[in-house]
Amino acid sequence: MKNNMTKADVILIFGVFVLSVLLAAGFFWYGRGTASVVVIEQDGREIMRLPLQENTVRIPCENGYNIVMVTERGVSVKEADCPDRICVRQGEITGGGQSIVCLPHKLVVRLVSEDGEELDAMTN
Amino acid sequence: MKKIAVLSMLTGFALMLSYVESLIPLTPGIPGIKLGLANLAVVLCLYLYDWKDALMVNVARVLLASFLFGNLYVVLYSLAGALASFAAMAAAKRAACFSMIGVSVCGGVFHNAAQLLVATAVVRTIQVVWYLPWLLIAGCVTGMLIGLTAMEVLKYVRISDWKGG
Repeated sequence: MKNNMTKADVILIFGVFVLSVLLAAGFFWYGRGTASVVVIEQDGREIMRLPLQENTVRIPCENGYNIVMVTERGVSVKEADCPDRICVRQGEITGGGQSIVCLPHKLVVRLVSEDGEELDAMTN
Repeated sequence: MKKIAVLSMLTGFALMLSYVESLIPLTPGIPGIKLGLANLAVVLCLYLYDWKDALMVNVARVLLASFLFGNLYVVLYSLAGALASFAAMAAAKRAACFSMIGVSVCGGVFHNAAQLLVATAVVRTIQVVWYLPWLLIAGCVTGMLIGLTAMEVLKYVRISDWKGG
Protein backbone atom coordinates (compact mmCIF):
# COMPACT_ATOMS: atom_id res chain seq x y z
CA MET A 1 0.00 0.00 0.00
CA LYS A 2 1.22 3.46 -0.80
CA ASN A 3 1.63 5.75 2.18
CA ASN A 4 2.17 8.98 0.35
CA MET A 5 0.62 10.85 -2.51
CA THR A 6 1.71 9.39 -5.81
CA LYS A 7 2.43 11.06 -9.12
CA ALA A 8 -0.84 9.63 -10.46
CA ASP A 9 -2.72 11.33 -7.59
CA VAL A 10 -1.26 14.70 -8.50
CA ILE A 11 -2.05 14.25 -12.20
CA LEU A 12 -5.61 13.21 -11.36
CA ILE A 13 -6.25 16.16 -9.04
CA PHE A 14 -4.67 18.62 -11.44
CA GLY A 15 -6.69 17.12 -14.32
CA VAL A 16 -9.99 17.51 -12.47
CA PHE A 17 -9.20 21.14 -11.68
CA VAL A 18 -8.24 21.96 -15.28
CA LEU A 19 -11.37 20.23 -16.60
CA SER A 20 -13.57 22.15 -14.14
CA VAL A 21 -12.04 25.49 -15.06
CA LEU A 22 -12.47 24.76 -18.79
CA LEU A 23 -16.09 23.71 -18.28
CA ALA A 24 -16.84 26.77 -16.14
CA ALA A 25 -15.24 29.02 -18.76
CA GLY A 26 -17.25 27.29 -21.48
CA PHE A 27 -20.56 27.70 -19.65
CA PHE A 28 -19.74 31.30 -18.82
CA TRP A 29 -18.99 31.99 -22.47
CA TYR A 30 -22.17 30.24 -23.58
CA GLY A 31 -24.36 32.20 -21.15
CA ARG A 32 -22.67 35.55 -21.73
CA GLY A 33 -24.72 38.62 -22.49
CA THR A 34 -27.11 40.35 -20.18
CA ALA A 35 -30.00 38.34 -18.89
CA SER A 36 -33.38 39.72 -19.83
CA VAL A 37 -35.95 36.98 -19.42
CA VAL A 38 -36.79 34.61 -16.58
CA VAL A 39 -37.86 31.17 -17.74
CA ILE A 40 -39.63 28.87 -15.29
CA GLU A 41 -39.78 25.18 -16.08
CA GLN A 42 -41.59 22.44 -14.24
CA ASP A 43 -41.10 18.75 -14.93
CA GLY A 44 -39.14 19.61 -18.08
CA ARG A 45 -41.80 21.89 -19.57
CA GLU A 46 -41.70 25.65 -19.75
CA ILE A 47 -44.63 27.01 -17.79
CA MET A 48 -43.85 30.69 -17.50
CA ARG A 49 -41.73 33.42 -19.02
CA LEU A 50 -41.32 36.70 -17.17
CA PRO A 51 -39.55 39.97 -17.93
CA LEU A 52 -36.96 41.26 -15.45
CA GLN A 53 -39.13 43.58 -13.40
CA GLU A 54 -40.46 43.52 -9.83
CA ASN A 55 -42.77 40.55 -9.60
CA THR A 56 -43.54 37.67 -7.25
CA VAL A 57 -45.19 34.48 -8.40
CA ARG A 58 -46.26 31.39 -6.53
CA ILE A 59 -45.59 28.15 -8.36
CA PRO A 60 -47.67 25.29 -7.00
CA CYS A 61 -46.78 21.67 -7.68
CA GLU A 62 -47.95 18.18 -6.67
CA ASN A 63 -46.21 18.23 -3.31
CA GLY A 64 -45.83 21.88 -2.41
CA TYR A 65 -44.95 25.28 -3.74
CA ASN A 66 -42.11 27.67 -4.53
CA ILE A 67 -42.36 31.44 -4.41
CA VAL A 68 -40.22 33.03 -7.10
CA MET A 69 -39.22 36.66 -6.75
CA VAL A 70 -38.12 38.63 -9.79
CA THR A 71 -36.35 41.99 -9.55
CA GLU A 72 -34.72 44.22 -12.13
CA ARG A 73 -31.37 42.62 -11.30
CA GLY A 74 -32.24 38.95 -11.33
CA VAL A 75 -34.36 36.23 -9.81
CA SER A 76 -34.47 34.18 -6.61
CA VAL A 77 -36.65 31.59 -4.90
CA LYS A 78 -37.90 33.44 -1.88
CA GLU A 79 -39.76 30.67 -0.16
CA ALA A 80 -40.44 26.97 -0.66
CA ASP A 81 -41.66 23.97 1.28
CA CYS A 82 -39.29 21.45 -0.27
CA PRO A 83 -37.32 19.26 2.16
CA ASP A 84 -33.82 20.58 1.45
CA ARG A 85 -34.47 24.29 0.69
CA ILE A 86 -31.39 24.40 -1.53
CA CYS A 87 -33.27 26.55 -4.04
CA VAL A 88 -33.92 29.20 -1.37
CA ARG A 89 -30.36 29.16 -0.02
CA GLN A 90 -28.93 29.67 -3.46
CA GLY A 91 -30.08 33.28 -3.35
CA GLU A 92 -30.38 35.56 -6.31
CA ILE A 93 -28.94 34.76 -9.73
CA THR A 94 -28.20 37.63 -12.05
CA GLY A 95 -26.21 36.33 -15.02
CA GLY A 96 -27.48 34.95 -18.30
CA GLY A 97 -27.39 31.15 -18.45
CA GLN A 98 -27.52 30.70 -14.67
CA SER A 99 -30.23 28.63 -13.09
CA ILE A 100 -31.80 27.69 -9.78
CA VAL A 101 -32.96 24.12 -9.43
CA CYS A 102 -35.42 22.73 -6.92
CA LEU A 103 -34.97 19.00 -7.32
CA PRO A 104 -37.81 17.78 -5.06
CA HIS A 105 -40.31 19.96 -6.90
CA LYS A 106 -38.77 19.39 -10.33
CA LEU A 107 -38.55 23.13 -10.80
CA VAL A 108 -35.95 25.02 -12.80
CA VAL A 109 -35.77 28.81 -12.80
CA ARG A 110 -33.29 30.17 -15.29
CA LEU A 111 -32.18 33.43 -16.75
CA VAL A 112 -31.73 33.71 -20.46
CA SER A 113 -30.43 36.50 -22.58
CA GLU A 114 -32.00 37.37 -25.90
CA ASP A 115 -28.77 36.21 -27.61
CA GLY A 116 -28.92 32.87 -25.82
CA GLU A 117 -32.46 32.30 -26.99
CA GLU A 118 -31.51 32.91 -30.60
CA LEU A 119 -28.75 30.37 -30.23
CA ASP A 120 -31.22 27.85 -28.84
CA ALA A 121 -33.64 28.51 -31.66
CA MET A 122 -30.91 27.86 -34.19
CA THR A 123 -29.75 24.62 -32.65
CA ASN A 124 -33.26 23.25 -32.20
CA MET B 1 -11.63 -10.19 15.36
CA LYS B 2 -14.38 -11.71 13.28
CA LYS B 3 -14.81 -10.07 9.92
CA ILE B 4 -18.56 -9.70 10.22
CA ALA B 5 -18.10 -7.80 13.49
CA VAL B 6 -15.64 -5.37 11.92
CA LEU B 7 -17.88 -4.86 8.88
CA SER B 8 -20.84 -4.10 11.14
CA MET B 9 -18.69 -1.72 13.13
CA LEU B 10 -17.63 0.07 9.97
CA THR B 11 -21.29 0.36 8.89
CA GLY B 12 -22.09 1.84 12.29
CA PHE B 13 -19.14 4.19 11.94
CA ALA B 14 -20.44 5.32 8.53
CA LEU B 15 -23.89 5.95 10.00
CA MET B 16 -22.40 8.00 12.83
CA LEU B 17 -20.48 10.06 10.29
CA SER B 18 -23.67 10.57 8.25
CA TYR B 19 -25.39 11.80 11.39
CA VAL B 20 -22.55 14.18 12.25
CA GLU B 21 -22.65 15.46 8.69
CA SER B 22 -26.40 16.05 8.82
CA LEU B 23 -25.75 18.35 11.81
CA ILE B 24 -23.23 20.50 9.96
CA PRO B 25 -25.05 23.28 8.14
CA LEU B 26 -22.70 23.29 5.18
CA THR B 27 -24.84 24.97 2.56
CA PRO B 28 -23.00 26.73 -0.22
CA GLY B 29 -26.21 26.88 -2.22
CA ILE B 30 -25.15 24.35 -4.77
CA PRO B 31 -27.16 21.15 -4.64
CA GLY B 32 -25.21 18.02 -3.86
CA ILE B 33 -22.18 19.54 -2.20
CA LYS B 34 -21.39 17.84 1.07
CA LEU B 35 -18.38 16.51 2.87
CA GLY B 36 -19.09 12.85 2.27
CA LEU B 37 -17.65 11.88 5.65
CA ALA B 38 -19.32 8.48 5.53
CA ASN B 39 -17.14 7.61 2.59
CA LEU B 40 -14.26 7.41 5.07
CA ALA B 41 -15.67 4.13 6.37
CA VAL B 42 -16.09 2.81 2.83
CA VAL B 43 -12.52 3.71 1.86
CA LEU B 44 -11.17 2.06 5.00
CA CYS B 45 -13.21 -1.05 4.29
CA LEU B 46 -11.93 -1.15 0.74
CA TYR B 47 -8.36 -1.26 2.04
CA LEU B 48 -8.95 -3.55 5.03
CA TYR B 49 -11.00 -6.14 3.15
CA ASP B 50 -11.92 -6.58 -0.49
CA TRP B 51 -14.36 -4.78 -2.73
CA LYS B 52 -17.26 -7.15 -2.11
CA ASP B 53 -17.22 -6.45 1.62
CA ALA B 54 -16.85 -2.72 1.02
CA LEU B 55 -19.81 -2.81 -1.38
CA MET B 56 -21.98 -4.44 1.28
CA VAL B 57 -21.03 -1.81 3.85
CA ASN B 58 -21.66 0.91 1.28
CA VAL B 59 -25.14 -0.24 0.27
CA ALA B 60 -26.14 -0.89 3.88
CA ARG B 61 -25.04 2.53 5.07
CA VAL B 62 -26.75 4.36 2.19
CA LEU B 63 -30.08 2.62 2.76
CA LEU B 64 -29.92 3.05 6.54
CA ALA B 65 -28.77 6.67 6.41
CA SER B 66 -31.41 7.61 3.83
CA PHE B 67 -34.21 6.23 5.98
CA LEU B 68 -32.79 7.63 9.22
CA PHE B 69 -31.73 11.13 8.23
CA GLY B 70 -33.24 11.73 4.82
CA ASN B 71 -36.46 10.91 3.10
CA LEU B 72 -37.60 8.51 0.43
CA TYR B 73 -36.79 10.63 -2.55
CA VAL B 74 -33.16 10.83 -1.43
CA VAL B 75 -32.61 7.05 -1.60
CA LEU B 76 -32.31 6.79 -5.37
CA TYR B 77 -30.21 9.91 -5.50
CA SER B 78 -27.82 8.75 -2.79
CA LEU B 79 -27.61 5.23 -4.12
CA ALA B 80 -26.65 6.43 -7.61
CA GLY B 81 -23.87 8.56 -6.15
CA ALA B 82 -22.66 5.85 -3.81
CA LEU B 83 -22.55 3.11 -6.44
CA ALA B 84 -20.81 5.24 -9.09
CA SER B 85 -18.36 6.43 -6.48
CA PHE B 86 -17.74 2.89 -5.34
CA ALA B 87 -17.14 1.53 -8.85
CA ALA B 88 -14.67 4.34 -9.51
CA MET B 89 -12.82 3.72 -6.26
CA ALA B 90 -12.61 -0.04 -6.75
CA ALA B 91 -11.26 0.50 -10.28
CA ALA B 92 -8.78 3.16 -9.12
CA LYS B 93 -7.54 0.91 -6.33
CA ARG B 94 -7.05 -1.95 -8.77
CA ALA B 95 -5.08 0.36 -11.10
CA ALA B 96 -2.50 0.42 -8.27
CA CYS B 97 -0.93 3.73 -9.25
CA PHE B 98 -3.01 5.82 -6.84
CA SER B 99 -2.65 6.24 -3.10
CA MET B 100 -5.73 6.37 -0.88
CA ILE B 101 -5.96 10.07 -1.75
CA GLY B 102 -6.27 9.41 -5.48
CA VAL B 103 -8.75 6.59 -4.90
CA SER B 104 -10.88 8.80 -2.67
CA VAL B 105 -10.73 11.70 -5.16
CA CYS B 106 -12.06 9.37 -7.86
CA GLY B 107 -14.86 8.45 -5.47
CA GLY B 108 -15.77 12.06 -4.74
CA VAL B 109 -15.73 13.14 -8.37
CA PHE B 110 -17.80 10.21 -9.62
CA HIS B 111 -20.23 10.54 -6.72
CA ASN B 112 -21.04 14.10 -7.70
CA ALA B 113 -21.12 13.41 -11.44
CA ALA B 114 -23.61 10.55 -10.95
CA GLN B 115 -25.85 12.61 -8.70
CA LEU B 116 -25.90 15.39 -11.24
CA LEU B 117 -26.90 12.86 -13.89
CA VAL B 118 -29.83 11.72 -11.75
CA ALA B 119 -30.76 15.34 -11.10
CA THR B 120 -30.77 16.02 -14.85
CA ALA B 121 -33.08 13.05 -15.38
CA VAL B 122 -35.40 14.15 -12.56
CA VAL B 123 -35.89 17.76 -13.64
CA ARG B 124 -35.51 16.87 -17.32
CA THR B 125 -33.50 19.99 -17.99
CA ILE B 126 -29.99 19.95 -19.34
CA GLN B 127 -29.36 23.36 -17.70
CA VAL B 128 -28.41 21.49 -14.56
CA VAL B 129 -24.96 20.82 -16.04
CA TRP B 130 -24.18 24.40 -15.07
CA TYR B 131 -23.31 22.97 -11.64
CA LEU B 132 -20.86 20.40 -13.01
CA PRO B 133 -17.60 22.39 -12.64
CA TRP B 134 -18.38 23.29 -9.03
CA LEU B 135 -19.39 19.74 -8.21
CA LEU B 136 -16.20 18.34 -9.77
CA ILE B 137 -14.01 20.69 -7.75
CA ALA B 138 -15.99 19.99 -4.58
CA GLY B 139 -15.70 16.24 -5.14
CA CYS B 140 -11.98 16.60 -5.66
CA VAL B 141 -11.39 18.65 -2.50
CA THR B 142 -13.58 16.52 -0.22
CA GLY B 143 -12.06 13.38 -1.76
CA MET B 144 -8.57 14.64 -0.89
CA LEU B 145 -9.59 15.32 2.72
CA ILE B 146 -11.25 11.93 3.14
CA GLY B 147 -8.29 10.13 1.52
CA LEU B 148 -5.80 11.94 3.73
CA THR B 149 -7.82 11.10 6.84
CA ALA B 150 -8.18 7.44 5.83
CA MET B 151 -4.42 7.24 5.29
CA GLU B 152 -3.72 8.63 8.75
CA VAL B 153 -6.26 6.29 10.36
CA LEU B 154 -4.66 3.23 8.79
CA LYS B 155 -1.27 4.30 10.13
CA TYR B 156 -2.51 4.06 13.69
CA VAL B 157 -4.84 1.09 13.39
CA ARG B 158 -3.07 -2.22 13.75
CA ILE B 159 -4.34 -3.85 10.61
CA SER B 160 -3.31 -7.33 11.75
CA ASP B 161 -5.77 -6.98 14.66
CA TRP B 162 -8.58 -6.12 12.29
CA LYS B 163 -7.84 -8.74 9.72
CA GLY B 164 -7.28 -11.73 11.94
CA GLY B 165 -10.00 -14.22 12.80
